[in-house]
Amino acid sequence: MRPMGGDGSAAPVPERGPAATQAFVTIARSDDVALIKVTGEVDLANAETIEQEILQGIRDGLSAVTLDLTGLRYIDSAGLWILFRLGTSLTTAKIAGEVVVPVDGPIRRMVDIAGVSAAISVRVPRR
Amino acid sequence: MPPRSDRTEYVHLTLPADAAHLCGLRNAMNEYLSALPLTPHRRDEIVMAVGEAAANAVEHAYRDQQEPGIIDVTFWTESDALCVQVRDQGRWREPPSGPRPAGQGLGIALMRRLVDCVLIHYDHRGTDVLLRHPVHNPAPYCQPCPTPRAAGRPSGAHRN
Repeated sequence: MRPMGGDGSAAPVPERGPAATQAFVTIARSDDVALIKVTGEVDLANAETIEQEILQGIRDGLSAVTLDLTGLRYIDSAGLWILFRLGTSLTTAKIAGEVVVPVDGPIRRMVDIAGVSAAISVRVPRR
Repeated sequence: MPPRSDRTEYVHLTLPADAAHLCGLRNAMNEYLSALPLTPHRRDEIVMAVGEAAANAVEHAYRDQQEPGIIDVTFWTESDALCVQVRDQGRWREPPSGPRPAGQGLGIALMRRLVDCVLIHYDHRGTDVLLRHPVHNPAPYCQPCPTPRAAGRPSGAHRN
């Protein structure tokens, strides 16, 4: 990336945040319930990998899956499509699914305006 | 006058149309936008909208090329707004009609909800996405326009 100032001179290269999109998926199962937590950032660069990791938490015999996004900092349309597809898959498998989003901030905003709740239940934790 | 590194009325970034560079673009945007009087909420919205525009270019503009092309991102402040242009030199692809395959069409819809005005222009040279977001006193060193602004707003999509 080559940032430039208004006069064409090189602008300072900001040093902030990770150099590459990073997200982490943790899966906890208890009896027939799975809690899948995603933290970090999800965009076009890592969405496919993150979706595969999430799907590893889905097994036959589950009655409910919770996808916890309260630790997520960024999501784009590629990440939102994971939620749409997950909702469809869980409905087909007759597994109750829900996505938990932060009370406010960019994740909730994106989930709301994309209409994710049409595909999977969206819950906001109490403050 | 020597260039001031903290001036943000015009910044131009060029990056490869590769998803691996989207994170760096976000970091750069956050850094430069932090100099403007934007709430974190507004800054997030602009970063997300620009991210969608850039991701669209990464995913679609150069699909037929073996080597990824480039994306130019320029943002500047006007007396009452922040503007961002995302430009590629690839091909525009119309979203398919009927049921959409996963991942297609959502990005543009999100952009139109996140910022006040979205203009998309494409021709054989590539695609320009112009995002415009009202900002009060976008920069203390940016003087109001000396001439009256044209009445009305640019045509295009506006946030509902």
